[in-house]
Amino acid sequence: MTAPQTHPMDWGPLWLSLRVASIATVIAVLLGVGLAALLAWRRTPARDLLDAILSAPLVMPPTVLGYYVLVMLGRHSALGKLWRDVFGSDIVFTETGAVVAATIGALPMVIKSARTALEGVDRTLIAAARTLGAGPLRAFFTVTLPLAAPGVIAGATLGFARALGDFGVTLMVAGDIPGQTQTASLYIYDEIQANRDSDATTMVVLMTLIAVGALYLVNVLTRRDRGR
Amino acid sequence: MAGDALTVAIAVVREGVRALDVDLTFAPGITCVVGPSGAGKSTLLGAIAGLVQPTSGRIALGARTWFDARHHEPIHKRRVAYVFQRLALFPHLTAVGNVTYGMARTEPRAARADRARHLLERVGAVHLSHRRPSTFSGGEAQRVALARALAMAPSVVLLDEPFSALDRALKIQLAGLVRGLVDELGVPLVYVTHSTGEARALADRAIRLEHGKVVAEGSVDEVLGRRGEPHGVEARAASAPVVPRDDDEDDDDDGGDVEDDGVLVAPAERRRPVDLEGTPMPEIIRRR
Repeated sequence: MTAPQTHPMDWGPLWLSLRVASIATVIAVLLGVGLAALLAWRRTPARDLLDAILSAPLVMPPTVLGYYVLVMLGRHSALGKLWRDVFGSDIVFTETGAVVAATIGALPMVIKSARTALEGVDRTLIAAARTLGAGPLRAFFTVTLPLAAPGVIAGATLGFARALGDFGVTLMVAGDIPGQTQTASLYIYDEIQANRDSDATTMVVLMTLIAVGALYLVNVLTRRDRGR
Repeated sequence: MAGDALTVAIAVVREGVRALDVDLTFAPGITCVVGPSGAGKSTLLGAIAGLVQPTSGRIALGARTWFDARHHEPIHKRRVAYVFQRLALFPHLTAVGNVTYGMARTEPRAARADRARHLLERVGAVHLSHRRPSTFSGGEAQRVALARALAMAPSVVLLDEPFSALDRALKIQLAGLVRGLVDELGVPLVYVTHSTGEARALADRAIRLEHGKVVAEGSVDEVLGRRGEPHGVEARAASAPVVPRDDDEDDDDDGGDVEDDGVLVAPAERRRPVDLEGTPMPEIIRRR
């Protein structure tokens, strides 16, 4: 039996999700492009192992990932204590925890896409930049990255969509605290549990539009890239 | 102005095979490097530019060591203007953006842009200033690549088959331009080509590489033979009119012409020679 709808739609979870996903995407892009460059160019024996570790969130159960984050960043962990000493708050069961969870989901998306894009840049162009007086960093930022930009943006968009929809790791790390850590995905779950199907449906439609819109954007960007 | 000579005494070993083993001095002026595919020509250019690290030996420009057992001068500090066979123009930058890329960033941006436009004007490509390479024809891209390489006030210029994709008129025009610019700069220019015609027209000296070693070095006539005399490829072509095709594109117009069907054929009828200004001289370039 459906309960009568007597309360207004709560948009807070959607704004929280958008905020968390945006911050997570920025962090994932900054970290992901650097790691992708490392994986693309540094021929170290640990490269395949590093790639496997960084890609693991794509295939591991959210509970396992959440467990690792709790162990590493929990209140009794060294990093958790350090964070509290510096910022005066905890990572877990806060919005910061939700950002960490979302970043873990977004990072492999960014790395995979950015690595492919970086590896696709013609090495002769990089060599040309170097002979024209550019050091490795200038060559990277003025030639490699601009040419790989469509792939990086595509990875960021996919990462954003993934971060926006995270459920399991967020639940483990940030909990489901209404008004504090309840993201849109958790909100939909709670509304369904409470038989408030109408609010859940509204949020589902919005999340679907955002996800499809993001994937459409990826398609447009990658088509432009191929056509260049 | 007279620049320093470049000395290259190096060995490059790849997977146990000696890909290059040379002891050369490139004086200011144009030195042509000829030889079959796989002879080590591009490896030589790569080592000079710093893109290929030699296994042993020494590279120096005048008294300044670029490479030896203890030191490897970074690529970006050598000031080597390298025109790649594939040109490698930056597709996301305009012609002006490409040409200013190698200029010192201590120079104001507007001054760099002005100088770039001036250089583009000299190579006849100023109309491309605000266009990107995807809109350039082969000849236009070549001109911009030359302007870009020379804009950095290079200490050495490397050209890897720079005119291979151009038609005859453009080859003549650009060859003259290269000659003039190198005379102005007074620096060593190493010019890799398959075309003995281009070598005769442009070079002060020539080097023939085979299997990574120098097999001939000296004046152009000494290395390539006097025009009309069979030598090197020509002699082999004359004695063996049909042999398998080389992997690389061949633009040799002196005798051993590689045709589209993949065979090396005996010398064809001599073409009317044309010099850089359009007056008779050795056959520089053949219409493709």
